[in-house]
Amino acid sequence: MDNFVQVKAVFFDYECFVEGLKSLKDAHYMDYTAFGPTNLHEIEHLMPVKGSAVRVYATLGAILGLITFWLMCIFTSRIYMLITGGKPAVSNVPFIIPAYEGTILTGSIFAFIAVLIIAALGSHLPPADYDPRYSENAYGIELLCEDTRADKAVKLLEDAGATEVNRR
Amino acid sequence: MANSVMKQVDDEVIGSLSRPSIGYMAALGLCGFLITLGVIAYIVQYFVGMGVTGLSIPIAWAVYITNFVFWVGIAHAGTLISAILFLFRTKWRNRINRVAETMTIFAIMTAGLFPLIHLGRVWVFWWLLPYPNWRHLWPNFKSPLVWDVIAVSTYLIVSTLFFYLGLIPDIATVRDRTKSGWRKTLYNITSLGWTGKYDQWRHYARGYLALAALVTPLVISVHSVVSWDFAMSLVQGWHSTIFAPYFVAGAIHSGLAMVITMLIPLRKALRLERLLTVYYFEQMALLMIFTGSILTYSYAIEAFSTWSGNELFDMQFSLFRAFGSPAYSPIFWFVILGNTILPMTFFSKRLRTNLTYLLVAAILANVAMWLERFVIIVVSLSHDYLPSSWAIYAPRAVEIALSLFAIGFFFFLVLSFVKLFPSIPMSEAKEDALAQEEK
Repeated sequence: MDNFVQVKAVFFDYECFVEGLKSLKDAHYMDYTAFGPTNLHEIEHLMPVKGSAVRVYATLGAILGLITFWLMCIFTSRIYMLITGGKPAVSNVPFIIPAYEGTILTGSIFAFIAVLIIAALGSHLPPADYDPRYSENAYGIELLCEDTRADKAVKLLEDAGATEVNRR
Repeated sequence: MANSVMKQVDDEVIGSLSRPSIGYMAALGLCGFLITLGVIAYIVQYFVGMGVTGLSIPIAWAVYITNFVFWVGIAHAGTLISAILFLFRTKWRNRINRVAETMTIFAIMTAGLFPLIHLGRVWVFWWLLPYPNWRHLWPNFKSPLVWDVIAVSTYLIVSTLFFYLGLIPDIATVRDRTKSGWRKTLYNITSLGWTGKYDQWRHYARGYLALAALVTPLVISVHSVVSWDFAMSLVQGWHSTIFAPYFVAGAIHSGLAMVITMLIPLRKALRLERLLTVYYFEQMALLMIFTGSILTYSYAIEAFSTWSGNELFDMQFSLFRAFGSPAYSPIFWFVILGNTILPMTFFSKRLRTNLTYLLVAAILANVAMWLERFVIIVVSLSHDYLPSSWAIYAPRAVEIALSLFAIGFFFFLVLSFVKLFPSIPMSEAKEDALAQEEK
C-alpha cells in the first residue's frame, strides 16, 4: 500500500488559487480541499465534493414546524371549547398564522443547527495546524495523495502561482 | 495586488474596533442617561400603577403601542437589506447589511419591551406564551394579539440566527488578529472554530441562502400581523384591508431612514469613509423613493375609498382627522408631507448625494413615521362611534421618559456592538474589493 503525504499550498492571488484547483482537478486528484477569507461557493465546480444537505434539513424542519404548530392550535383549542369572536373553537383559517410562523421558526432553527453540525462548527478554538492567513488575505489548498504523485502535485501548484508549497 | 486590497479592508474594519473617541463616549453617556430616566419612570409606573400614564377609555392604546409598532417597523429594513436584496443578488447591500441586521435585532428587542410596559400587570406576561399548564388554559390562537407574540418572537429568533451566521467568518478574522485578553476569549468562543475551509463555506453558503429564503416571507408576515392587531377590530381608521401592505411599506421606509440615520454618524466616528461611500446612501435613498411611493398610494387610496364608500362614520372620522382637530390635524398633515413629499426630494441627485441633507431627511422621515403610528392608534381611538366617548389624549411624563428610554436603549446596544464586532461584513467587502480589482 502506498504512503500518503499531505501537500499544502498558499496563494496570495485568487486567480492563481483557482488555477491551482483546476490543475488538480484536471490531473484527477481526488482528496483535496481549499481555504480562504471569502466565500468559496464559486469554486464548487472545481472541488471533489459538492452540494450540501442543509436545505434538506431546513425543509424537514419547516414541515415539522407547520405540523406541530397547527396541531398545537387544534388540540389546545379542544381542551377548552370556549367560543370567542364568533368563531368555532377549532377554526383552521386563523390557525394559518401560528402555523406559518412555526414553519419559518422551526425551518430556520433546523437550518442553523444543520450548518453547525455538518460544517463541524462549535469548537472554541481552530485546529492546531490552522493557518490564520486564511482569514486575512491568503487562499490555501491542502491535498492528500500517494507519495508517488506528490511531486507532480507540487509542480502543478507551483506552476499555478502558489507562493508557498510544503509537503509533509 | 489582491491580497493588499483584502488586507486594507481588514485593517480599516478592525481599526474601527479600536479605542473609542470622546464623541463616541459622549453618545454612549447620553444613551445611558436616557436609559436611567426610563428605568426611573418605569419604577414609578410599576409601583403607582397605570394611572400615571395618560391612558384612559376610550384611548387605552397610545404611546407605548406607538413605540412598539414603530420599533418593529424599524426592524424590517434590516432584513430587507440583508435577506431580500441578497436573494436578488444586489451587490450594494454588501457594505451595509451588518449594520442593518444589527439594527433589526436591537429594534425588535426595543419593540418587545413595550407590550410588557403597556401590560400593567407585567408579572403575568407569560400567560401569553403557549405552554402546558395545570389550569388547562392556552392562549387563544384566533386572537391577533397572540399571533403578534408568536410573529415577533419568531422574527427575533430567526433574525438573530441569520445575523449570527453571517457574522461567524468575520469574527474568525478578528479572532486571528487579536493577540490576547478578554476580546480574544470572546472571539474564540463566538467564532465557533471557523477556519475558512471549503466545507465550512459550502454549508455556510447553503445555510445562509436557506435562512434568507425563510426570513423573507417573515418580513412580510410580521408587520402584516402587527397591522392586523388594528385591522381585525371595528374601530374607524383601523378596520381596513389595505393595512397589511401599508404597514409593511411604512416599516421598510422607516427602517431605511434609520439605517441612514445610524450610518452617517457611524462612518465618521469609525473612520469608514472609504468603505462606506456616498454610493450606498444613494441606493438607500432611491429605495426610499419606492417605499415612499407605496405610502403615498396608500394615503390616496384610503381617502378615495372613504369618499367612494360614503359611509357616515368613516367619512366623519376622516374629516375629523384631517381638519376637525386642532390637536391632531397638524400632526396628520405633517405625516402626509413627511412621508409623501420628503422622499420625492430624493429624485434630485444633488440632494440624495448630500449626506447632511440625507441625515436631516432621514431623521424627519423617522419622526413622520412615528407620528403616523401615533395618528393611526390614538386619533382613531379618540373619535369612535359614540360622540359621548370622544376624548383627547396627551402623553404624560412617564410615557415620554419611556419613549426616550427606547431611543437610548436602542442606540446604546448599537454603539456597544460596533466597538465589539465588525460593523462591515469583511468577507463580502473583500469579495467586492477583489471583483473591483479584477475590473
